[in-house]
Parts: sequence; C-alpha cells; structure tokens
Amino acid sequence: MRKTVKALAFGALAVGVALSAACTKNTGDSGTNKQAEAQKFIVDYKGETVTPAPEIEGAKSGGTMTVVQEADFEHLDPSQIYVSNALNYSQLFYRTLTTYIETGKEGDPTKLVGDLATNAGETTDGGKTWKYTLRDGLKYEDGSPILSKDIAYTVSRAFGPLGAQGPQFIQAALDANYGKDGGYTGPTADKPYAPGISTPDDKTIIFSFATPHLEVPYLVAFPTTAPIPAAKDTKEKYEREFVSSGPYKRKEYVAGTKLVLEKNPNWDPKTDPLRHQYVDQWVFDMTADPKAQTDRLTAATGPDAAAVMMDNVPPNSIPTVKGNAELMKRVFTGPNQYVYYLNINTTRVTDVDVRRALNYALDRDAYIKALGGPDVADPATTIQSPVLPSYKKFDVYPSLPDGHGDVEKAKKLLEGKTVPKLTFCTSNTTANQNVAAVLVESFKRAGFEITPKFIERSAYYTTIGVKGVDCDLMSSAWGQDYPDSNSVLGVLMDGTKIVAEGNNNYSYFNESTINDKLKTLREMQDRGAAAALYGDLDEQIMKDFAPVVPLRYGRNFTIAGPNVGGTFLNQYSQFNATSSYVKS
Amino acid sequence: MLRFFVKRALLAVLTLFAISVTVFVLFFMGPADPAASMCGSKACTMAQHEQIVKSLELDKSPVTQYASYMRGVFVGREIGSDSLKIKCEAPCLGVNFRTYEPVKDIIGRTLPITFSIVLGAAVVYVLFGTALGMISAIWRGSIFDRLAAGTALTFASTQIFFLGSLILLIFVYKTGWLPRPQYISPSTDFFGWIGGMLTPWIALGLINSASYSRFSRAQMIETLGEDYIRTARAKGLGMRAVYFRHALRAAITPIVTIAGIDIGGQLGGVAITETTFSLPGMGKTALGAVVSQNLPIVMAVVLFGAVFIVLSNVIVDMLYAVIDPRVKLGSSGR
Repeated sequence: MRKTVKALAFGALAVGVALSAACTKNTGDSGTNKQAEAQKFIVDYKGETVTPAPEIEGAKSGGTMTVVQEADFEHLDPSQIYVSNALNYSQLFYRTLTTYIETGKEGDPTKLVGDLATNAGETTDGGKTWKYTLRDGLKYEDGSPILSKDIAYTVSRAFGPLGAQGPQFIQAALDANYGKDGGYTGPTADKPYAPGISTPDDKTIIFSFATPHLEVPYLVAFPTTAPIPAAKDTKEKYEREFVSSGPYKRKEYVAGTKLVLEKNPNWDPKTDPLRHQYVDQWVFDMTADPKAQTDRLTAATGPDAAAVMMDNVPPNSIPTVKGNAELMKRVFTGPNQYVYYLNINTTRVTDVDVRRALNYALDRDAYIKALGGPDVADPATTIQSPVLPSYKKFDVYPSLPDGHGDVEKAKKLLEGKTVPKLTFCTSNTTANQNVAAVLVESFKRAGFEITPKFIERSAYYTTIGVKGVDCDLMSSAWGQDYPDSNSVLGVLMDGTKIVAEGNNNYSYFNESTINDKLKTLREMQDRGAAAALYGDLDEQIMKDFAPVVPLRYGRNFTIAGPNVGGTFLNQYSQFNATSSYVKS
Repeated sequence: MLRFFVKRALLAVLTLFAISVTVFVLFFMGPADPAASMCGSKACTMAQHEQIVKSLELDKSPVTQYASYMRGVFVGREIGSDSLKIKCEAPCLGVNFRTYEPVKDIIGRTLPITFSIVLGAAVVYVLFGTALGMISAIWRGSIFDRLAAGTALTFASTQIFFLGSLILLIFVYKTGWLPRPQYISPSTDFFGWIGGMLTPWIALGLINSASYSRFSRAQMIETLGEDYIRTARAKGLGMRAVYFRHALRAAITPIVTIAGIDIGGQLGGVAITETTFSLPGMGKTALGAVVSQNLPIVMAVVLFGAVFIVLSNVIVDMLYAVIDPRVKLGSSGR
C-alpha cells in the first residue's frame, strides 16, 4: 500500500528575494535518473503575482481526467488534510490564504503567493502579527461570498476533534495551552475564534502570536485555512459533503469508490493566481492498487488515456515498464521529499567515533538493492532532502568507489575500543525485515554485532518516540512539513525539543552548540539567508557528531496517460492538477 | 419446522455473541493503538493523540466499549467526546475511526459488490462444474472425461491472484475483449453490471468449478449405479429423464450443501478476488481496516461474515427438504 506519511514536499524557500537554492523538479524526463538541480524560490509578500494564472502552453478545454488511486483519500475535510495526495488534489476545490505556484519548467522558481489573500502575508512587528486581506469577488460554489470570518471559523475549528488528524502548527503557535487543560478546543458561542485571531472586517483576518512566527505564510498554505461556511459545516460529514471554493465542485462522491468533480461556475479565474479549469470533469477512481494502476496506465485504453496514477509503479513492475520504450515516454521520475535514516541513539552510543564508524561501514549499494534498486531510491549522505531549499550536497563519510562503504576506515575508528553490541529497532514490515538483514551483515564487516528488534508497525513511532527507549539504532523517515529547514533540522536535531514522549528527534541528539545555532537560524527574518546556513549546519552535524546514518532519498516512478497534458510531478510528489488538461 | 428455526436462531445469536466478544478481546489484547494509526507515521503530539483517543472513546474500558457497541446495535448511541458528538442510529455498527463515516454506510456500499461477485461466480461454478461433472460421469472413461478431469485439476490448483491477473492481462489490457472490472449497480445499468463483473465471475467460477465437477461426477457415478436407476432404465424410461429427473436430483443434494457453505463463506469477504480485480467489496475494505486497526469496520465485517455462514447453513437445510423429499426438517427420525 502507498505510504500516507504525514509530511509534505516543498520546493525551495526565500523571503522577499529570489535566491539560489536547491530544489527538485520532476519533469517527466522519460525515465532518466537525474539528481536534484538548483532552483529559486520566491515569497510574494508584495502581492505582485498576476491573476488570472497565465495560460498553459498548448492547453485545450474539455474532456475528463481520471486519477487512479488505491483507496479513498485519508481525509477531505480541510481541517484534517495532511497527506500529500489530498494536499495536491484538494487544490481543485479548496483555496487557501496562500499557495505555491510551480511551473514544472527547469529554472523557474517556485513561488509562495497569496491565494485567497492578496499576498503571502504582511507583518510589521517581525512576525508576531500577520495580516491577510482577501481578494475581491471570491465566492463559494453556491455563489455566496467568501468572508474573513469563514477562514477564522475554519482555523478555530481545527482546534477541536475535527482537526486532530490534520496539521497542528498554527494551533500550537496561536495557543500556548493547545492540547492542555484550559486550551482552546474549537468554536463556541462565547469563544467563536481561537486566541489571536481577529477579523476587523469581511476582508481582513489577523493572526497575533505571543512570539515571532516567520513561518506563518507557509502554515496558512495548509487547507487549515480553506474556508468553511459555518452554516454549512456538517461536522463529521463534511469529509464527504464539502463546499467548494475552487474551480471544481463535488458532483458525485461514493466514499471509498469514486469522487467525480465538475466545473464550479462560481469560481472566477480573475481571482486566482494558480488554478485553471481546462478539464470538464475529474474522476477519482479509488479502487486500483499500484499494480492495477500500472497495468491500466500501461494499456491506457478508453478513459485511461487521460488518466494519471496516484502511486508509484511497484518495484517488481519497474523492469517491465523500463523494457517498454514507448511507455517510458510517459513515465515521470525524480526524487521525492522523504529521507530515510538510521538514527543512532546518542544517549546510548556516546562515542562519536563509533557513530562515524557506522556511517563508514554501511553498505549502501546492498541496501538500495534490497529495496528495489536505484529506480526507487538514491543513496543519501545528508540529513536534508535534495528537494529542500537549504539542501547542501556533501558526503563526509565517503564510500569506496564500489558503493559498499569503507570498512577499513570504520575498523580504524574502532581500533582499541570495545565495539558495543547494538539493538536495531525497526517497524515490522516485510521490507524492513529484508533491510534489517542487509544492515546486520553490512555492519558485521566492521565488527559490529547488531540485533534487530521488530516493533509492531502502528506502535513503532510512538515506541521509539519515548525518551529512554532501549534501542541503539532506529530506522525512520522524514519529509519536511513546510519548505524551511526549521521543519527538518529544527525538528530532528534540536535537543531543546526533546520531551518525555512523542519525540521526532530519534537520535535524542542534544548538543548545546547546535541548539544555539538552530535557535539563531529559526529567528532569522531573512529565511533565504537562513536556508544557506542550514546546509552548512547539516554538514557540521554530520561531521562533528554523526547522530544518524543517512540511508536513502525516496524516488518517484509513476505513469501518465498519453492524453494528459500540462502536468509534472510537483512538490507533493503528485501530478500537478491545477495546470492539467486533456489533449484530445 | 418452527422448532428448527427457533433452535437455529438461538444458535446464531450465541455464535454471533461469541464472535463479537472474541474480536473485541483479540483487539484489546493485541498491541493495538488505533489512535496512533490515525495520527500517521510521524510521532503524534500527546495532545493530538489524546484528542483522537477521546473522540474514538478508546479511553473507556473494553467492557464499557463492548457494552456501548452492543447498545448501539439495538438502540443506537452517541459517539465521541463533548466537543464532537456523533449520533449513530440503530442498528449502529460504530463509525470509521478515521473519517467518522457510519460503518453501516460502509457495509451498505461494499456488500452489494461482494454479493455481486460471489453470487454471480456461484452461478458459474455450480452450473458449469455440475454440468461438466455430469457429462464426465455419463461418458465415464472417455477422452472428454479425462480432459475434463485434467482441466478441473489445473483450475483447482490455480490461485485467484494468478488466474485473475492472467485474465486481466490478456483479455482486458492486451486485447480489450473483456471490459475492465468495475462495479456498476444493476439498478442503474444491468448490462454494465454484468460487463464489470465478468472477469471476477470467470476467474472465481473456473477455479471453484473444478471441485464441483469432480464432486458431481463422483455423485452421479454413484447414483447411476443405484438399483432404482437400473429399475427406471429397465422400465424403459428415456435416458434424459433418468439423468435429470432421477440421477441428478439425488446427486445434487450434497452439491447444494457445499455450495451453500462456499457461498456463505465467500460472502464474508472474498478479499483476494476483490483485490485482484480492484473491486472495493467487504473483503478488501476489511483488509484495509485490519491494517489501520479500524475496529468498528473489522467487527462489522466479521459479524456479517458469521451471519452469512449461519444463514447459508439454514438455507441449505431448507433446500434439502425441497430437493430431497426424504429429508424432513426437525423430524426426530433424522
């Protein structure tokens, strides 16, 4: 089954100015295995982005686009959406305060711009207060106006149970007591809005925070700000009875089977910097597993000629696909947002040379092969993903040219030391059992004795997130939640955030010099400058402390039908929906 | 007859009670944390976890949860914490832990798909298998008999995911001779329903028909050797009447038994068939629910599966009386 990891992929980041930063673009390059390339990123604070969105070259109107997927979306309630497939396709019917514009063309910057709002946000006090002004002429599918109070209601609603499975960032930023006794728990008659939210008029919404939050323009790009008219909030049924603010609206929804979207006549392209309405109808077929998706997109007959698959081609089917030259022209590949790590519990493995030796000893070549080969993963050497703006390419523990690691260097580092016996914890899946065997053999070459410990899958992250967990090594994956390394290094490597339970810093890495640097970077108003510094910090952490062994960067390998136009794999590792059209 | 039904009904209630308790016990004895599953793969914040636990009522004891579940089945109930009360009317089978969708709605939309697959395939395998077995019995020892036995053995030793994938690859994706499997309600498009169900019917029908052909062949051969058949022949009765009116009728009783049990079992979920043909029936839904620890869905599917098995047994018993007049329901002579 496809992963539904709660993490997003984003492009690069800068504030105010275009910066040179690393970002990945998946351009459907006929199966070539290109590494991420440098890209710029712009945040449009001034509201300079034009509306309507520029026409897509060669775009045609009409037709039905089919998205073939394995199961229903995990959530379509805007307060609960947190998985990349829903983040991508919900843009067809939800608009948010800000949004990201990508063109899919190499060299073009990714932009964070105002969507419902006129710009990416205005702050005059260093990020403690953020003001958003709505565009003119915004309407719901029934023609009623979209008002600032609707957005205030939606954000406030996310503090309650209907937001519990969605992103939690803005709730935690607005209310220091969120989730604790006395914290805000959703709209009531006497407290209609969450603390810090005000709507001085129908077109203005203001967020006030106790401390600076420079990441707010990114947080309000989540569907947490997609407006819900309070009178039409059907609560738990809103998942299936949502009201559209975007170019398409619900025509038919059979949960778990099919969602059909049709054009929303009350969406005005003149108010929208991102979306198009080329396609007459979108059909989400929720019944095909990745193998069936691959078979259907390979045949691409009937409606499937204008279809895209939501998941990746299963590793077992990749050789068949690669053997079909015609089909490969419709294959889209590229790195995705996930980085997979072997976390070294620094409270148990305290000798940095032992941690370095583990980095040298890893046989990445065998590891990648065990997962399905270079079409499904790239060897990783950094903590940050290549799709992150602050990514810096480096390899402080280089392997010998054969890709099997450098066992001699590992042994040298361990000379005169008692090599500890290590427990390797991982979740109990078939893939992980294969991987565990490879890792055990890999480290054995340098003299390590590793004992795998398989933990029940659903309890895995809860278990290893407990401070004091009795694991020396732990596998994990991470994708940034928003395009700022504060969402990667700021989460994974900040020792000040270690708590009793629910940790994401699985190395339990707590180094005061690094904590200080992370604090400095987090508080920098120029996020572009911060991005460049995060890359250096990544390298320093790996070189001086080696708290993790980076294992791999995830890759996409997916197929579109021959009649699909205007699309590319975007920051969500999905086919870009807002620019898509049917060729004939 | 009445006594028979009362006994059966009581047994059914006891069976369902035992199964429901077993599912609950197994669920809570295992290392399950459904709230963590709902939180996703990253470590959940404690607040988030707590909120999900409360909204799913997982903070209550298993006994309380079971009592609440059963009360919901008969009189309905309200689910959730103070900030989100979901009204679930009787017969309430709970709500999907993830989306709060009522489980009876999920059953309502997945059951017709499973029914369509199972009943359609049953028609194929019972008719085709029995006909094949009957002809083999009549032409015992002929090339046809041997060919039929070989074919039956081949299909019997084939797995649905293999045969199904092969049918899809050749007849759907390569040649386009058969329509892509999909469920269309027969009330909206009857022929569309047949078209969408053809591939699973053929695959499941072929695999299952093997055992029916072998079984009906053996039964027919045995029946054809009975004295009363010889008498019928001796009295000059036509062969067609001998085969269909006498031999087949006697041979079909055990076939009905097996078919009843097979259909009952399959209605509980033909997960592999549904997965192979991408049909979102009860089995496929249950598989997903097991992985995500969505107890109410698992519970409902297991209970429905048990109901079908119990019901199919009752129906088989009733059919006995219709097919074979020697059988009297509830008679002390049995």
